[in-house]
Amino acid sequence: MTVRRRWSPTGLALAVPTALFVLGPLGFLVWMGLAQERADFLERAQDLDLPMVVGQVALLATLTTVWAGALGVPLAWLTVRTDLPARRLLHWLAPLPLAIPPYIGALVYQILLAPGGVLPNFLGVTSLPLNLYGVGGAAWILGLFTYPYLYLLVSGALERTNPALEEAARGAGLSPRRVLTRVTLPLLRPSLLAGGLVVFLYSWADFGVVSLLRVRTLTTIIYDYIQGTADWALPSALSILLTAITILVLLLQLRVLGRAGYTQIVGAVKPAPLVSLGAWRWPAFAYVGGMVTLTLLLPLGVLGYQASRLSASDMGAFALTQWPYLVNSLWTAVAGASLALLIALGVARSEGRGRAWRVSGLLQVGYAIPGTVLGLGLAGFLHATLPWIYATPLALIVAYVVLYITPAFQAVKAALAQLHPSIEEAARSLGRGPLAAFHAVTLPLIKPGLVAGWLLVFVLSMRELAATLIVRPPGFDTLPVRIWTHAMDVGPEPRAAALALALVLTIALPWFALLSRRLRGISPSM
Amino acid sequence: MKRAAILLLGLGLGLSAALPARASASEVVVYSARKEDLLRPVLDAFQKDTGIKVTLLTGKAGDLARRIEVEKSDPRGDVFLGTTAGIAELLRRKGLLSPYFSPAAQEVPEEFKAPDGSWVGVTGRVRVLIYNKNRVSDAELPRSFFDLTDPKWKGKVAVASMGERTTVSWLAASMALRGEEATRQYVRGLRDNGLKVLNNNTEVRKAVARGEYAIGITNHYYYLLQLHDDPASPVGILYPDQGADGIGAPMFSITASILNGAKHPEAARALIDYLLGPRGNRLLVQGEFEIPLIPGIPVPGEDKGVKGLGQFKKARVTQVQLADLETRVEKLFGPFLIP
Repeated sequence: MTVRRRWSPTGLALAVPTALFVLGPLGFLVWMGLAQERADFLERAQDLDLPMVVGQVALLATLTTVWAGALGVPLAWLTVRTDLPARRLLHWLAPLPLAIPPYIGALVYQILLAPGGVLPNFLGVTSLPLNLYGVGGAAWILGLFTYPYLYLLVSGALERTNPALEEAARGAGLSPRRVLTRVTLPLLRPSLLAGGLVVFLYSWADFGVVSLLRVRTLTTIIYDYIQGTADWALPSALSILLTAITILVLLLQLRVLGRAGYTQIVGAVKPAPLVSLGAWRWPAFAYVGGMVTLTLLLPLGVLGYQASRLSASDMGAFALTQWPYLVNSLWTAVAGASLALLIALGVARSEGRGRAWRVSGLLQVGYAIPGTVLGLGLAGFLHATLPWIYATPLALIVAYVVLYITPAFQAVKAALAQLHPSIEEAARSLGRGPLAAFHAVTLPLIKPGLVAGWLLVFVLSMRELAATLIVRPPGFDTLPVRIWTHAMDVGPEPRAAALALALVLTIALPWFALLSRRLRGISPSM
Repeated sequence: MKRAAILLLGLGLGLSAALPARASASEVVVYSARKEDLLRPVLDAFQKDTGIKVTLLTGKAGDLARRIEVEKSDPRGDVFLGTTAGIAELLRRKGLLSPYFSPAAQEVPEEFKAPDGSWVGVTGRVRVLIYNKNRVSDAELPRSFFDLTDPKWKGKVAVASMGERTTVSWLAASMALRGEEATRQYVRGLRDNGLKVLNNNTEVRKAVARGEYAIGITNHYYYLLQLHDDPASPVGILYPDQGADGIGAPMFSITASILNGAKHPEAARALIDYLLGPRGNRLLVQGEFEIPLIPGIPVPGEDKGVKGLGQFKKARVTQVQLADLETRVEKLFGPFLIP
């Protein structure tokens, strides 16, 4: 499997600028951060209690990952492998909380649980014994709205796992539990680690939830310095610190994941037999129903109720003024997702399966840059090098591509991995040109994977807030920016809720489009 | 799906061509650190009265300052509206502002203006205490900002983070009038007394109205905003340090300035004239719930206990003095002023 592919000009033409856009902003920040005097930085680091803050973020990210795992993994198993009632429907609903940005989730739970919120008012107390503000509350929210990352990867892996392996283990006399621990879980390990990593990094770099729920993290410190002071040096230095730690986590993951390779013969796999839950069928259904309530029904209900407090005429006038922001969000996200996918496809094909120089590893750094940091660096970098992109909608698209090229790449890579190169080679040996062969043979086969990747980047770009706040041009706000401005200025009032609802529904729409296709028999997790 | 995606992309690009604002003679790009809702009425009126289109970019003061600095060689904005003089003064020193003595600014007291005309105060805000009437009785109310280090207020007081420039200005006032060492001690005392730092002033007013905290250190218009939100809120307003030996309540102003190299200098000047003119200033003051710096404009909230210029003891410190000290405050107390 060590076919060495040469880099095609197209691949290079796609990879080099992307790498530049990933490294440029970081370079700019390093340059700016160098202006920070070391002694001064150390003094402020002490005042800021940085070691404690880093520890606290690590705790938050760990708690979130565990919580998201506790939610997503059993759900994946229940919907894919058991006779859970309505399992097909639930399989479609499970990834949907991705459409709700965690900061909107935090707004909703603030309305419900914070002091002065719906539940405390109903119970007639000022505050609940369980405090939403703090690491626990933030982990609760982040877990509720990031578990779909784990769910998607794990349920996909469960569907692809060849049940023959488990059958063989059973045949060898292993108890169901031993089959789970000795065969199924080890097979799931790569997807568990990958999904866990996504959740971990997300909460590590999160800004919206921790800010709303009053947790001090590196991102909130950076953001406060960005908001409150005209200083470049300290926020830049802190940004570099944050990015460096994130890259370390990523490298660690590469080492761990790098070793956990399994090759399965994929192809004519018959679906695994469903486990009968027996008496546990309905309790399990109640558990899953509870999850759907917490992550979908409750948020949508609260937003809908808040929005409905706006009178119809106000709503009409408001919708008219806000319409352009929806359009802004929509077309930049569509352009960002399409571009990211194109680049990912070019790079993935160039890298092929060989051990060529991995540009993708470099691109992955983009995923490690928190949005706030990228925004700060990108603004400076673009203005210095590409002033015609700076403060135009293109800057937003660049930000989306840099931040989310990795999920696109992973989706493309996963789709290509299931394809033996011999298939395309066969087409070429039959006289097709490279492009024609790709179009006739490869594309149809990897299409579901591409659609999934596109959709994921689209969703993430539609939701992006932190970088957008900094790089948006004057007069070109996106929906998340409007929600943030409203929520920060006046709190989660009806208009903010109406905007949030519009955002969630827009994001969910393509999902439903897919839903109708998939119900015709295409595999959900692709 | 792919076809749909291409279709959407095409649609998006088509729309995009139509959307971005083209630079035109009758346009002004405003970088504003003010709440958009509060600023909108006056900007809309300006647009209607003059036919000059207003493009608004709302952000936090520091964010906008950094943007203005990045854009130095090719400014995209025309007018900067800041929440205190601090950031405007920083921009002035970096040569990023273009002086303009608006004829309409003549009535604004000198202490609210940059001597060289780089920025001018357009409305005033007063640093006050707000309190929850259910948690504090009138008899036990503090008299001074400096009473809040008393153990009886332990864990009961909230303030906004450094993200709000007025928090920085407030400590700058203490530095100016009581000195650096006394202010250091004061901040240490507040910290030991469990002062809660919240994200912004909106959170402070809401937390106090809900009774989460008994007292909030904030600006006077948040009291009015809270009552505007919910007239039944049990909040009160208190002007601190009013006694004979008190330092008085510090005042800050929304500052307006024109960026150096602005693409629409005439429109920018027209906007500043308008914001200080009788109609514009009245709308601005009303919209922002602030107090006027120009005589003859009514004080919003007078019936609710808000006092106009000259009706309370004001800290004797000019906006330039405050601005000078703000960087020092950032450096000394920044880490403490983060949630």
